[in-house]
Amino acid sequence: MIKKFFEINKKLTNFLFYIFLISIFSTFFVKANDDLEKSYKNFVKETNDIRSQLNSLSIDNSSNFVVIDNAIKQMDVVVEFAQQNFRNKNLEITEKTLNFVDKSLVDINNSVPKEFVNDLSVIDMSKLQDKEIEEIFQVSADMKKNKKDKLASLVKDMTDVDKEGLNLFEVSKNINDSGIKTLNIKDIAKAVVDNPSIKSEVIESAEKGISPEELAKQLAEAEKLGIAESTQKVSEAAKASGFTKDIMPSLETMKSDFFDAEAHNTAMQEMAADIEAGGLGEGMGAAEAAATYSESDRDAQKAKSEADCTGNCAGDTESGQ
Amino acid sequence: MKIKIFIIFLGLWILLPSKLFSESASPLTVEEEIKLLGIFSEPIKYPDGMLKFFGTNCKTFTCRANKATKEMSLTFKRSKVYHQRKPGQQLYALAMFELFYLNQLKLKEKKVKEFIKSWPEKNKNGKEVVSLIKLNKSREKMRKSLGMDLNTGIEEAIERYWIMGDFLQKGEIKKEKISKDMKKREKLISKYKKAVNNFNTALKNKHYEDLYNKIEKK
Repeated sequence: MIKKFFEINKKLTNFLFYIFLISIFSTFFVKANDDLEKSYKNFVKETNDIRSQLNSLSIDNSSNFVVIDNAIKQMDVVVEFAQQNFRNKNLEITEKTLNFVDKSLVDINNSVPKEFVNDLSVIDMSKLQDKEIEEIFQVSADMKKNKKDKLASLVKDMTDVDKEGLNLFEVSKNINDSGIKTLNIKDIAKAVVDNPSIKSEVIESAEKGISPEELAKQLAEAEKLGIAESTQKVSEAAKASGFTKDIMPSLETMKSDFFDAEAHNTAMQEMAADIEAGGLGEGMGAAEAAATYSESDRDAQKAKSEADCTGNCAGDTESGQ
Repeated sequence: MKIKIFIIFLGLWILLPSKLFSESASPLTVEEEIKLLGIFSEPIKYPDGMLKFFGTNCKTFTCRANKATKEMSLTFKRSKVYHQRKPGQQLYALAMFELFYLNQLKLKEKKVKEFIKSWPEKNKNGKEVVSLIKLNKSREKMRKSLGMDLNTGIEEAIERYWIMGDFLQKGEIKKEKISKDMKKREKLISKYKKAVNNFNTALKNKHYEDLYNKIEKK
């Protein structure tokens, strides 16, 4: 009887020990997922709120409103697809779909007229120092390269999403057709020519959503352009005339009377919009920095900034104070 | 025997779905991430505008870094309207973020060294190391927006941010009349964008969560 009792007791102790181990491990793995689940729930709640607010906006026959509202409606389908994939635990496709939504929303937002516009055409380029000019054009060239890489990655993502059942090339075409400038057939062709390894799968997906004839035409154009860009002769000729391969003017060209400052100011404006769209300042770094910043520091800074601000300061801070 | 099989089954039942759910390879190892943090070295030169901001009484690195951190924090909290009216401020704040990071690196240098010494047997100062890695990720993201990376020198990065800030400040801010309905739409699109961005960031950060857990909870 006592022996049996000890045996049962030993088994029970073993059982409890294993349960204890499992609960420790499971807590370790589940914690990160809990955070993600929480983010997902917030995301669903926020997007539902936004949709209902958008639907309640007054409907006007103004073409501007119709264009924007239609483009946003296109996004709803894509967001729903991303949510469905998250629920199915397909995180990779969720992320790729959201990358597309992000880019499209940036483009929709850019099409909305802005209250404040920074007119860079007033800048007298000849008054800038050499170092400044060099840096500005270096940034422009680097950003151009970034944009190219991002585009290639997005087009590849769109192809992967198509394999899971949503043709984003078609969505993109619909947004363009509604009047918003976003990823178009020319961009897709350029991305394909720059990355031949993705060519066949992109063409296969893109052709389902856009006209195959138009795509073929744009591909031929982009290929011609690609060949021309890499031709040594053209490069040398460009260099001789003061232009680099990326049509970035040299310092000497910019100082000459022939320099088209207006064209470059337009490019800079585009860059400024890119910076704004990138949401710089948001994110972890800002949050962590804010954590080290005391209330009294904030009060002092606020007082200083209000003193600096002539006239009406309302709306300068998030609180509107 | 039956109990053991039951427990193994129970364990798999609990662990497998969550493991599958969190399946994403961390791109870099702990050692590689620490290497990317860099080593503290005080900047030799600053842009003129930044020196003007520091003032004549603030000459030590600590004073400059603290002043820059306060200003940066305030700028990041500003509204969208403020940044539209003063487009260069955000870029100045990014230059200041570089000093903030460098100061954090200086303050936690000893702790990072202790961590390296004890790793992988122990995770001494794991929390501080994770906090620095997260900051470094933000720094990388911000630099990338202007075509730089973590290999770009600190003076060069600060100078680039400052020059671009000056350039944007030189433009003329023009106010256009926008209808109320259009403003509402703009606000909602921004909200939509933010919601998508937050969730997408959480998804992307998930790739690093395993690494952070490894460092903090060893």
